[in-house]
Amino acid sequence: MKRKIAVSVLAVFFALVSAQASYARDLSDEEQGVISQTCASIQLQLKNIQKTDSKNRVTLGSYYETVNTNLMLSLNVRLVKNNRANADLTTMQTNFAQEREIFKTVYTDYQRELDVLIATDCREKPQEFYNELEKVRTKRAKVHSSVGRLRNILTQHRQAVVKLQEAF
Amino acid sequence: MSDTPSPAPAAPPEAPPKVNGGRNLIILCLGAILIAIITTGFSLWAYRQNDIYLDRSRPGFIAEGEKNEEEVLEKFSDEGEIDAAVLEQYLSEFDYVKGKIDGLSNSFSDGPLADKNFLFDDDDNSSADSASENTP
Repeated sequence: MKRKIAVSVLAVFFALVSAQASYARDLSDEEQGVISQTCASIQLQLKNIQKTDSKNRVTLGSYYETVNTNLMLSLNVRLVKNNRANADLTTMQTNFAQEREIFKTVYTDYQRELDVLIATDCREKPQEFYNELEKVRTKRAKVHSSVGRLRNILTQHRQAVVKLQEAF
Repeated sequence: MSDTPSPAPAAPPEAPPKVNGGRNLIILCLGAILIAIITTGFSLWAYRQNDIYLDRSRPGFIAEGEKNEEEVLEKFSDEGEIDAAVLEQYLSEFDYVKGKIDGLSNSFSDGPLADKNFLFDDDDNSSADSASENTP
């Protein structure tokens, strides 16, 4: 019985390892050669991307904070004080605050992975570099999705405020 | 001659406890250094985990002139009446910020990390192009 369990655990482990290993496609020799030859340029490019992302992260974070605290929260408080609490607007503000936390987390994960990618020696290990690149792409896509979800909540919030305005 | 027993001889005074000041001082110093190392290490670890990715002041990361313009936006008052005009003013402020956010909607798109930026020579595309795609 114990042996069966051990074999099952090992099978799952190797399946996970192989899934991780097959994360990125295998590069052809020519493609590996291109990465090796242009490694310095690629590293520079990645550092530029990192800087641009950092600036955008801080700017977006600042706007998200403004929208959440200075606008959405203030409006909800004012509505409550006027005995006109709006459940939809409150829910949207809560969702926005939660999504902001997700945005912070996925951005940090992405930047951490990008650091690993920049530290990977693309001249000597182009395939390893490419595997890491695929991981960074996945993390970056999560950040992009989070930005999209935050925008959607803001759009819904605006529609709800317009609806409320029409009710007056 | 009285029969009263003579008083017992006084016990010799207790020797004061031996204090090894030099050794205690060394232990105190080592303890303080150890605590300082542990707390500093923890702080650096915590910084490395999260804040480093927001710390634009870290040496050489983003120069002052390259930082995005930051503006202080007014807070919508949570006091006062609520009517259509107030909501109109709210929407005006909201739309301004939302416009700024929409302007950055292409941030973190997959373009800059696409294969074409890594598997072709620089002649086919420039890093500046891909970086600018991400710039607001």
